[in-house]
Amino acid sequence: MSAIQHISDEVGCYINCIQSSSLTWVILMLIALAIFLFIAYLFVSNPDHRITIFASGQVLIISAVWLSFTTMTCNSMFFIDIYLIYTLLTLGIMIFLPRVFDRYLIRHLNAAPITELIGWTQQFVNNLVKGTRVFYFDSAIPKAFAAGRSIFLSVGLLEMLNDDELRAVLAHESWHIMHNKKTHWLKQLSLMTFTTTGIMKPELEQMADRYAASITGRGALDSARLKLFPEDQSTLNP
Amino acid sequence: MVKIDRINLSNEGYTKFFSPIESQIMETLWDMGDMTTSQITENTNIPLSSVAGTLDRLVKAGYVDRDVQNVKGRVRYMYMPTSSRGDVACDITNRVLDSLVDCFGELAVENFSKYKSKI
Ligand SMILES: [Zn+2]
Repeated sequence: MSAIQHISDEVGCYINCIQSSSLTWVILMLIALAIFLFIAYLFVSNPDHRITIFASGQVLIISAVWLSFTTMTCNSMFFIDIYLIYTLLTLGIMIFLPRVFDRYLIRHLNAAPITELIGWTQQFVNNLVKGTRVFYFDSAIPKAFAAGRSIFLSVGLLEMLNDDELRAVLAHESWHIMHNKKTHWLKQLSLMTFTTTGIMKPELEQMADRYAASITGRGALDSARLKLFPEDQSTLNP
Repeated sequence: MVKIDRINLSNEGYTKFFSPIESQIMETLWDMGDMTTSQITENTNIPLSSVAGTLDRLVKAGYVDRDVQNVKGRVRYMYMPTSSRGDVACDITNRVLDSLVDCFGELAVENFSKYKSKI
Protein backbone atom coordinates (compact mmCIF):
# COMPACT_ATOMS: atom_id res chain seq x y z
CA MET A 1 0.00 0.00 0.00
CA SER A 2 1.40 3.41 -0.96
CA ALA A 3 2.00 6.11 1.67
CA ILE A 4 -0.66 8.38 0.21
CA GLN A 5 -3.19 5.54 0.26
CA HIS A 6 -2.24 4.87 3.88
CA ILE A 7 -2.68 8.52 4.94
CA SER A 8 -6.02 8.91 3.18
CA ASP A 9 -7.26 5.70 4.79
CA GLU A 10 -6.27 7.02 8.21
CA VAL A 11 -7.95 10.40 7.67
CA GLY A 12 -11.01 8.65 6.27
CA CYS A 13 -11.22 6.55 9.42
CA TYR A 14 -10.98 9.70 11.60
CA ILE A 15 -13.89 11.28 9.72
CA ASN A 16 -15.92 8.09 9.98
CA CYS A 17 -15.29 7.83 13.73
CA ILE A 18 -16.32 11.46 14.36
CA GLN A 19 -19.42 11.18 12.18
CA SER A 20 -20.64 8.03 13.87
CA SER A 21 -19.91 9.31 17.38
CA SER A 22 -22.70 10.46 19.66
CA LEU A 23 -20.45 13.31 20.72
CA THR A 24 -20.39 14.91 17.27
CA TRP A 25 -22.82 17.68 18.21
CA VAL A 26 -20.75 18.52 21.37
CA ILE A 27 -17.61 18.81 19.24
CA LEU A 28 -19.42 21.01 16.72
CA MET A 29 -20.77 23.22 19.51
CA LEU A 30 -17.29 23.66 20.99
CA ILE A 31 -15.95 24.68 17.57
CA ALA A 32 -18.87 27.08 16.99
CA LEU A 33 -18.34 28.65 20.42
CA ALA A 34 -14.60 29.02 19.72
CA ILE A 35 -15.32 30.75 16.40
CA PHE A 36 -17.76 33.07 18.20
CA LEU A 37 -15.00 33.96 20.73
CA PHE A 38 -12.45 34.60 17.99
CA ILE A 39 -14.90 36.98 16.31
CA ALA A 40 -15.63 38.70 19.65
CA TYR A 41 -11.87 39.06 20.16
CA LEU A 42 -11.71 41.29 17.07
CA PHE A 43 -14.19 43.76 18.57
CA VAL A 44 -12.88 44.02 22.14
CA SER A 45 -10.20 46.58 23.00
CA ASN A 46 -9.50 45.96 26.70
CA PRO A 47 -6.22 43.97 26.81
CA ASP A 48 -7.26 41.74 29.76
CA HIS A 49 -10.52 40.80 28.02
CA ARG A 50 -8.75 40.24 24.72
CA ILE A 51 -6.32 37.77 26.30
CA THR A 52 -9.07 35.95 28.22
CA ILE A 53 -11.30 35.66 25.15
CA PHE A 54 -8.52 34.49 22.84
CA ALA A 55 -7.14 31.96 25.33
CA SER A 56 -10.66 30.61 26.01
CA GLY A 57 -11.17 30.14 22.29
CA GLN A 58 -7.89 28.22 22.09
CA VAL A 59 -8.90 26.03 25.06
CA LEU A 60 -12.22 25.24 23.34
CA ILE A 61 -10.43 24.23 20.15
CA ILE A 62 -8.06 21.97 22.09
CA SER A 63 -11.03 20.44 23.96
CA ALA A 64 -12.78 19.76 20.66
CA VAL A 65 -9.64 18.08 19.30
CA TRP A 66 -9.20 16.05 22.49
CA LEU A 67 -12.87 14.98 22.48
CA SER A 68 -12.49 13.87 18.86
CA PHE A 69 -9.49 11.74 19.83
CA THR A 70 -11.48 9.91 22.48
CA THR A 71 -14.15 8.91 19.98
CA MET A 72 -11.68 7.38 17.56
CA THR A 73 -11.02 3.68 17.31
CA CYS A 74 -8.87 3.56 14.19
CA ASN A 75 -6.06 0.98 13.98
CA SER A 76 -3.45 3.48 12.87
CA MET A 77 -3.47 6.86 14.57
CA PHE A 78 -0.22 8.22 13.21
CA PHE A 79 -1.25 11.92 13.13
CA ILE A 80 -2.63 11.80 16.63
CA ASP A 81 0.53 10.19 17.97
CA ILE A 82 2.60 12.90 16.28
CA TYR A 83 0.42 15.63 17.81
CA LEU A 84 0.68 14.08 21.28
CA ILE A 85 4.46 13.87 21.02
CA TYR A 86 4.57 17.48 19.79
CA THR A 87 2.42 18.64 22.72
CA LEU A 88 4.52 16.82 25.30
CA LEU A 89 7.74 18.06 23.70
CA THR A 90 6.67 21.73 23.63
CA LEU A 91 5.31 21.42 27.18
CA GLY A 92 8.66 20.07 28.35
CA ILE A 93 10.53 22.86 26.60
CA MET A 94 8.17 25.54 27.97
CA ILE A 95 8.69 24.29 31.52
CA PHE A 96 12.41 23.65 31.21
CA LEU A 97 13.57 26.65 29.16
CA PRO A 98 12.67 29.56 31.52
CA ARG A 99 14.59 27.86 34.32
CA VAL A 100 17.86 27.90 32.42
CA PHE A 101 17.39 30.80 30.00
CA ASP A 102 18.32 33.58 32.44
CA ARG A 103 21.41 31.66 33.52
CA TYR A 104 22.38 31.32 29.87
CA LEU A 105 21.85 35.06 29.34
CA ILE A 106 23.96 36.00 32.37
CA ARG A 107 26.86 34.07 30.90
CA HIS A 108 26.25 35.08 27.29
CA LEU A 109 25.96 38.82 28.05
CA ASN A 110 28.64 38.66 30.75
CA ALA A 111 26.05 40.37 32.98
CA ALA A 112 26.86 41.55 36.51
CA PRO A 113 24.57 42.24 39.50
CA ILE A 114 23.31 45.81 39.34
CA THR A 115 24.04 46.28 43.04
CA GLU A 116 27.66 46.81 41.98
CA LEU A 117 26.53 49.92 40.10
CA ILE A 118 23.28 51.37 41.51
CA GLY A 119 21.92 49.62 44.60
CA TRP A 120 18.47 51.21 44.81
CA THR A 121 17.23 49.54 41.60
CA GLN A 122 17.50 46.04 43.14
CA GLN A 123 15.67 47.25 46.25
CA PHE A 124 12.94 48.86 44.14
CA VAL A 125 12.35 45.63 42.18
CA ASN A 126 12.33 43.49 45.35
CA ASN A 127 9.51 45.66 46.71
CA LEU A 128 7.44 44.83 43.61
CA VAL A 129 8.33 41.16 43.04
CA LYS A 130 10.34 39.05 45.46
CA GLY A 131 13.23 36.85 44.42
CA THR A 132 14.02 38.76 41.24
CA ARG A 133 17.57 39.76 40.46
CA VAL A 134 18.56 42.78 38.38
CA PHE A 135 21.64 42.61 36.15
CA TYR A 136 23.44 45.06 33.91
CA PHE A 137 25.47 44.24 30.82
CA ASP A 138 28.05 45.99 28.67
CA SER A 139 26.37 47.65 25.69
CA ALA A 140 25.79 51.26 24.69
CA ILE A 141 22.53 50.31 22.97
CA PRO A 142 19.63 51.06 25.36
CA LYS A 143 17.90 47.76 26.15
CA ALA A 144 15.82 46.22 28.94
CA PHE A 145 14.22 42.79 29.15
CA ALA A 146 13.09 40.14 31.60
CA ALA A 147 13.91 36.42 31.44
CA GLY A 148 13.10 33.77 34.02
CA ARG A 149 13.42 35.57 37.35
CA SER A 150 15.97 38.12 36.18
CA ILE A 151 15.83 41.61 34.69
CA PHE A 152 18.59 42.72 32.33
CA LEU A 153 19.50 46.37 31.66
CA SER A 154 22.21 47.63 29.33
CA VAL A 155 24.59 50.36 30.49
CA GLY A 156 23.28 52.39 27.54
CA LEU A 157 19.81 52.31 29.10
CA LEU A 158 21.15 53.36 32.51
CA GLU A 159 23.02 56.24 30.86
CA MET A 160 19.94 57.46 29.05
CA LEU A 161 17.18 57.40 31.65
CA ASN A 162 16.71 59.49 34.78
CA ASP A 163 15.69 57.77 38.02
CA ASP A 164 11.93 58.16 37.47
CA GLU A 165 12.12 56.78 33.94
CA LEU A 166 14.30 53.91 35.15
CA ARG A 167 11.69 53.08 37.82
CA ALA A 168 9.01 52.96 35.09
CA VAL A 169 11.10 50.51 33.00
CA LEU A 170 11.87 48.38 36.08
CA ALA A 171 8.16 48.25 37.03
CA HIS A 172 7.28 47.24 33.43
CA GLU A 173 9.83 44.40 33.47
CA SER A 174 8.72 43.37 36.98
CA TRP A 175 5.19 42.91 35.64
CA HIS A 176 6.56 40.48 33.05
CA ILE A 177 8.25 38.48 35.84
CA MET A 178 5.07 38.46 37.97
CA HIS A 179 3.11 37.09 34.99
CA ASN A 180 5.78 34.70 33.72
CA LYS A 181 3.73 31.59 34.40
CA LYS A 182 0.58 32.91 32.72
CA THR A 183 2.59 34.08 29.73
CA HIS A 184 4.12 30.62 29.40
CA TRP A 185 0.67 28.99 29.38
CA LEU A 186 -0.48 31.43 26.72
CA LYS A 187 2.54 30.43 24.64
CA GLN A 188 1.79 26.75 25.24
CA LEU A 189 -1.81 27.24 24.05
CA SER A 190 -0.53 29.01 20.93
CA LEU A 191 1.89 26.17 20.20
CA MET A 192 -0.87 23.59 20.62
CA THR A 193 -3.26 25.47 18.31
CA PHE A 194 -0.51 26.42 15.83
CA THR A 195 -1.09 30.18 16.19
CA THR A 196 2.02 32.36 16.51
CA THR A 197 3.32 32.66 20.06
CA GLY A 198 3.66 36.42 19.69
CA ILE A 199 -0.04 36.95 19.05
CA MET A 200 -0.75 38.19 22.59
CA LYS A 201 2.37 40.34 22.81
CA PRO A 202 0.81 43.79 22.24
CA GLU A 203 -1.79 43.07 24.94
CA LEU A 204 0.85 41.87 27.39
CA GLU A 205 2.97 44.97 26.73
CA GLN A 206 -0.05 47.21 27.27
CA MET A 207 -0.76 45.54 30.60
CA ALA A 208 2.88 45.83 31.69
CA ASP A 209 2.79 49.52 30.76
CA ARG A 210 -0.44 50.08 32.66
CA TYR A 211 1.10 48.48 35.74
CA ALA A 212 4.25 50.61 35.39
CA ALA A 213 2.12 53.75 35.09
CA SER A 214 0.25 52.80 38.26
CA ILE A 215 3.56 52.57 40.14
CA THR A 216 5.49 55.55 38.77
CA GLY A 217 2.86 57.70 37.05
CA ARG A 218 2.13 58.00 33.35
CA GLY A 219 4.61 60.87 32.92
CA ALA A 220 7.71 58.85 33.82
CA LEU A 221 6.59 55.95 31.60
CA ASP A 222 5.83 58.17 28.62
CA SER A 223 9.13 60.05 28.82
CA ALA A 224 11.02 56.73 29.10
CA ARG A 225 9.15 55.50 26.01
CA LEU A 226 9.91 58.69 24.14
CA LYS A 227 13.64 58.29 24.86
CA LEU A 228 13.74 54.57 24.03
CA PHE A 229 11.56 54.65 20.92
CA PRO A 230 11.74 58.20 19.55
CA GLU A 231 10.95 57.12 15.99
CA ASP A 232 7.72 55.30 16.71
CA GLN A 233 5.47 55.93 19.68
CA SER A 234 2.67 53.66 18.54
CA THR A 235 4.55 50.35 18.60
CA LEU A 236 4.88 48.69 21.95
CA ASN A 237 8.10 47.03 22.83
CA PRO A 238 9.54 44.66 25.46
CA MET B 1 36.03 48.43 10.93
CA VAL B 2 39.44 47.99 9.43
CA LYS B 3 39.21 44.90 7.27
CA ILE B 4 41.18 44.41 4.10
CA ASP B 5 38.08 43.52 2.13
CA ARG B 6 36.39 46.72 3.24
CA ILE B 7 39.15 49.14 2.33
CA ASN B 8 37.83 51.72 -0.10
CA LEU B 9 40.69 53.68 -1.65
CA SER B 10 38.43 56.28 -3.27
CA ASN B 11 37.14 57.50 0.12
CA GLU B 12 38.59 60.49 1.98
CA GLY B 13 40.89 60.20 5.03
CA TYR B 14 40.17 57.51 7.55
CA THR B 15 36.88 56.61 5.84
CA LYS B 16 39.12 54.62 3.52
CA PHE B 17 39.33 52.13 6.39
CA PHE B 18 36.48 52.95 8.78
CA SER B 19 32.81 53.63 8.09
CA PRO B 20 31.95 57.37 8.10
CA ILE B 21 30.46 57.17 11.62
CA GLU B 22 33.35 55.07 12.91
CA SER B 23 35.93 57.48 11.59
CA GLN B 24 34.02 60.52 12.93
CA ILE B 25 34.00 58.95 16.39
CA MET B 26 37.68 57.98 16.18
CA GLU B 27 38.72 61.45 14.98
CA THR B 28 36.74 63.08 17.82
CA LEU B 29 38.31 60.80 20.43
CA TRP B 30 41.82 61.41 19.01
CA ASP B 31 41.28 65.17 18.96
CA MET B 32 39.60 65.64 22.31
CA GLY B 33 40.65 62.67 24.47
CA ASP B 34 38.40 60.76 26.88
CA MET B 35 34.69 61.38 26.44
CA THR B 36 31.27 60.26 27.67
CA THR B 37 28.60 58.95 25.29
CA SER B 38 26.68 62.23 25.38
CA GLN B 39 29.87 64.22 24.66
CA ILE B 40 30.46 61.99 21.65
CA THR B 41 26.93 62.53 20.30
CA GLU B 42 27.24 66.30 20.86
CA ASN B 43 30.65 66.60 19.22
CA THR B 44 29.90 64.37 16.25
CA ASN B 45 26.30 65.53 15.83
CA ILE B 46 25.27 61.92 15.21
CA PRO B 47 22.14 60.69 17.01
CA LEU B 48 22.59 58.19 19.84
CA SER B 49 20.70 55.51 17.92
CA SER B 50 23.53 55.42 15.35
CA VAL B 51 26.41 56.08 17.77
CA ALA B 52 25.53 53.37 20.31
CA GLY B 53 25.90 50.35 18.02
CA THR B 54 29.04 51.80 16.42
CA LEU B 55 30.64 52.33 19.83
CA ASP B 56 29.87 48.70 20.77
CA ARG B 57 31.59 47.58 17.55
CA LEU B 58 34.64 49.84 18.03
CA VAL B 59 35.05 48.47 21.58
CA LYS B 60 34.70 44.87 20.36
CA ALA B 61 37.27 45.47 17.62
CA GLY B 62 39.67 46.91 20.18
CA TYR B 63 40.05 50.45 18.78
CA VAL B 64 38.23 52.00 21.76
CA ASP B 65 38.14 51.15 25.44
CA ARG B 66 35.45 52.17 27.93
CA ASP B 67 34.85 52.28 31.70
CA VAL B 68 31.50 52.22 33.45
CA GLN B 69 31.32 54.99 36.06
CA ASN B 70 28.76 56.07 38.62
CA VAL B 71 29.11 59.80 39.18
CA LYS B 72 26.70 61.09 41.84
CA GLY B 73 24.13 58.41 41.04
CA ARG B 74 24.35 58.85 37.27
CA VAL B 75 25.74 55.87 35.37
CA ARG B 76 27.89 56.67 32.36
CA TYR B 77 30.48 55.27 30.01
CA MET B 78 33.84 56.95 29.61
CA TYR B 79 35.46 56.23 26.25
CA MET B 80 39.13 56.39 25.33
CA PRO B 81 40.97 55.41 22.16
CA THR B 82 43.24 52.39 22.71
CA SER B 83 45.76 53.48 20.14
CA SER B 84 46.91 56.76 18.63
CA ARG B 85 46.30 57.92 15.07
CA GLY B 86 49.87 56.84 14.26
CA ASP B 87 49.39 53.35 15.70
CA VAL B 88 46.23 52.83 13.66
CA ALA B 89 48.01 54.14 10.52
CA CYS B 90 50.84 51.68 11.21
CA ASP B 91 48.39 48.81 11.73
CA ILE B 92 46.52 49.58 8.51
CA THR B 93 49.76 49.97 6.52
CA ASN B 94 51.04 46.60 7.80
CA ARG B 95 47.85 44.83 6.87
CA VAL B 96 47.73 46.32 3.39
CA LEU B 97 51.43 45.62 2.75
CA ASP B 98 51.09 42.06 4.08
CA SER B 99 48.32 41.36 1.64
CA LEU B 100 50.29 42.92 -1.25
CA VAL B 101 53.44 40.92 -0.44
CA ASP B 102 51.35 37.76 -0.08
CA CYS B 103 49.99 38.39 -3.54
CA PHE B 104 52.94 39.83 -5.50
CA GLY B 105 56.01 38.81 -3.43
CA GLU B 106 59.33 40.22 -4.72
CA LEU B 107 57.59 42.52 -7.16
CA ALA B 108 55.71 44.30 -4.39
CA VAL B 109 58.85 44.78 -2.30
CA GLU B 110 60.76 46.22 -5.31
CA ASN B 111 57.99 48.76 -5.76
CA PHE B 112 57.96 49.77 -2.06
CA SER B 113 61.66 50.70 -2.23
CA LYS B 114 60.86 53.31 -4.89
CA TYR B 115 58.74 55.18 -2.32
CA LYS B 116 61.68 55.73 0.05
CA SER B 117 63.19 58.27 -2.33
CA LYS B 118 59.80 59.96 -2.84
CA ILE B 119 59.26 60.84 0.85
ZN1 LIG C 1 7.52 44.44 27.97
